[in-house]
Amino acid sequence: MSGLSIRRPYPVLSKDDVSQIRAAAIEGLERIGVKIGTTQGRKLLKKAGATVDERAEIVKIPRSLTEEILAKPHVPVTMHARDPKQTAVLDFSHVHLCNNGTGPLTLDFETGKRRPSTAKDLADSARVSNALENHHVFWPMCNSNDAPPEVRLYVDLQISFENTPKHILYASGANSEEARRLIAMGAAVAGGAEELRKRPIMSSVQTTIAPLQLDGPMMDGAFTFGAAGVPVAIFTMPTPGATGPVTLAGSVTVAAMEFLSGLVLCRLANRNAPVIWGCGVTPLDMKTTTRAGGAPEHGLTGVAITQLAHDFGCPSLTGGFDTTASVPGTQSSIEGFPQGLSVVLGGADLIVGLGLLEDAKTLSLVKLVIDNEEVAMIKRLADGIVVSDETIALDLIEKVGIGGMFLAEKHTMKHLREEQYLPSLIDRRSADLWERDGRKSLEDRARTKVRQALAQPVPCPLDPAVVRKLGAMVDEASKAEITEPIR
Amino acid sequence: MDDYVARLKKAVIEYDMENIAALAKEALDHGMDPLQGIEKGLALGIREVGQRFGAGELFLPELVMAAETMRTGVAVLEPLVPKGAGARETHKVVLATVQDDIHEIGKNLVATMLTANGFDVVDMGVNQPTDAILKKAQELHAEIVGVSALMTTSMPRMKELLAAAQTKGVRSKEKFVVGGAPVTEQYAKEIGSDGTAGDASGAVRLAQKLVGAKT
Repeated sequence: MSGLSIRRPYPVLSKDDVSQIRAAAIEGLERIGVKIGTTQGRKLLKKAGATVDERAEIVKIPRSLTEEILAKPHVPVTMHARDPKQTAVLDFSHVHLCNNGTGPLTLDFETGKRRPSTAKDLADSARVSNALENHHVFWPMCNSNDAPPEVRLYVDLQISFENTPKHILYASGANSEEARRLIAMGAAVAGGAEELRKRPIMSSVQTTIAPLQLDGPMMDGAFTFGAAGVPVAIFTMPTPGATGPVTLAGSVTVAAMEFLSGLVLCRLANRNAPVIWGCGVTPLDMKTTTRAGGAPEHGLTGVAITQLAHDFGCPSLTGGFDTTASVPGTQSSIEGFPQGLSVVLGGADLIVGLGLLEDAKTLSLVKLVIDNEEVAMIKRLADGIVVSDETIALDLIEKVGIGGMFLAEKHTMKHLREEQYLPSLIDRRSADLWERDGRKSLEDRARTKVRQALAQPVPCPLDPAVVRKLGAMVDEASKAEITEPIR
Repeated sequence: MDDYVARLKKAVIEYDMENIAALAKEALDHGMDPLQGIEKGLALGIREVGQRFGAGELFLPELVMAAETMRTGVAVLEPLVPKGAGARETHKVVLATVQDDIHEIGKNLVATMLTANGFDVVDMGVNQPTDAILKKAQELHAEIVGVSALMTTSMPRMKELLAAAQTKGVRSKEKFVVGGAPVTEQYAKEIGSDGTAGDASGAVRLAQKLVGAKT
C-alpha cells in the first residue's frame, strides 16, 4: 500500500459549484450530445435509451441514463503492483504519484543533447523511478524509437515490466486488437488471465478528442481492457480557449461531458468496470500557440475534476508538476511546484507529471529526481500540524524549563521523522561548505542521485521464463498482419 | 472611397466580424473598387494584425477573429473583381495529419496561423494517405505541403511522403514541411523535408521563408 494521506485538503470548488457543473454536464449530454466513433458503443447506448444519429455518429444521452449510471456506488480502483508492497489503492483518500510518460524525445543523461528516445532510456527511467520514495505508479516514460514502429507499443510494455515491479499505467491508446495483445502480455506476467483479472498489474489510458468526441478504436480498446478487468482511465483534455471555453468552469464541463459519456459506455459494456477520470486541462498559450502544461490553471482544473470525479464515484488522474521549460532548472521547478501543490492538497488520486519537460514531451532523469524532492516537501505541507497533548508537550516544556534545550529529549527523536521534512536534494549546508564542495547545483546533486539509482539492480526481477515469453509475444506481434491502423 | 478602404482595414484590425459584410456591400454601393478594397483594405489590415501578434502585442484569438473578418470581407468583394484585373497573389498550402494518426490540434493551429497570415490553406484533416496528400497538392497547385504526426509510430509516413514525392517528380515543385511533438530538426533534415518548427508561430515564419525563397 502506498500513497500520501491528506490531513489538510484544499478543494477549489464549493459543493454548489460541483452540483452546478454536474448538472450542466448531464444537461449537455442530453442537449448537445457527443460524437461516438464506435459502432458497438452506439448500439449499446441506443439500447439503453439514447438518441443516436448513425450518420453523424452523434449520440444524445438522456439525463435518466447518466443519473442511473452515476447512482451506482463509488468504485475504487486498485492498481496492483508486481511487488504487492507497492500496490496503489485509489480509494478517494490517498494521493499517489506517477511520472509523466510517452515522451518521444529525451535529454541524453550524459551529453544533455535532445534526441529521440530509445529503449535504453525507457529502461533507465524505470530504474531511476525504482529509487524514488515518492513515486508509486510507473507509466512508460518514453517511446522506444529504436524498436520497429509496428511493435513499439508492445516493446514499451515489455521493457517496463522488466525494469520495475510497480503497477504499469500505460497510455497505450490501443484499439481492441492491440489491447488483446497487451492484455496477453499482462496475463503472462501476472500468471494467467484470471490472475490478471484478480490483480490487474497494468491499466490503460484512453484519450478522448476535445471537444466532445470519443474515437471509435480508442473506445473499443477500452471495452476490451474492461472485459479483462484491466482498469481504464478516460483521459479528457480540452484546451481552454482552443478546444474548450477559455473559462475553466466551461472547459471542465466539456471534460465532464466527455468523461461521463465514456463512463456510461464503459459501464454499459462491462457493468462494474473500474474507470478513472483522467484529465490534463491547461490553457493554450495565446502568444506562442503552445499548450501551457506548466500553467497554474493546470493545478486548479486537476482539483476541480478530482472533486467532480469523486462526486461521480470514480478516482481521478490529473496532470501536475508539468512544465513547458526545455531544460530542468528554475523555470521547470517554479512551474511544477504550485501546480503539484494544488493537486496534492486537492486530493487527486493519481498525479501524473514527474520527469518530463516541454509539456510532457522530453524525458529528463534529472527532472524526475528533482520532482520527487518537490513531492517530499508538498507531502509535509499536506500532512499539516497534528495537535494533541503529546504534540503540544506542555509537560516537556516544563521539564526542559526556561532557557533549556530540547535536543537531548527522547520526545524529539520520537517525533522528528514525522514532524520534519528531511531533505535529500535540498542543500542546507553553510555557504563556505557548499563552496568547498565545488558549488554543486541542485541539478548536479540530482545527477548524482540518478547515477546511484542506475547502479542498483532491478528489484523483484521477472522470472527468466516470463522474460522469454514476453520476447516471444513481441516477436509474434511483429509477424502478425495488422488489421487495424496503428494509433 | 478611400474612406471605405480605410474603414475595411480598420474593421479587420478591430475584428468586427459582425459588420464587415454589410460594410463591404456598402462600400461597393458607393463605388469602391473591390480589388482595391481587398488589397489596400482587408489585406493591409491583416498584415498589421499579423505584425502586432508577432511583436507580442496581440493574443491568438484576436488574430483568428481578424482573419475571420478578412475572409468574410473577401467573400463579398472577390466575386466582383473583374476577371483578369490582376488576380490576388495568394500562396496555397495543403495540410494533413499523416495516415495512422488522428491527432490534429497542432495542425489546426498551424492552419489558423497560416490563414491569419494571408496563406490560402486547405486542411485535409487526419489519417491521410500519402497518395491522397500528393494528389490534392497537385490538384490545387500548392506551394507548400505540411504534414503532422503526434505518434512516433506514424512518423515514418512522413518519410514515405517525401520518398513518394521524389519518385513522382513533384519534389521540386512543392515545398514539404513536417511537424508534431516527436519531430526534431534533425529528423526533418534526415527525411529530406524543407524544414520543421516547434510551434505554429514558427510554422508561419518557415512558410514565409519558403515562399519568399521561391519568388
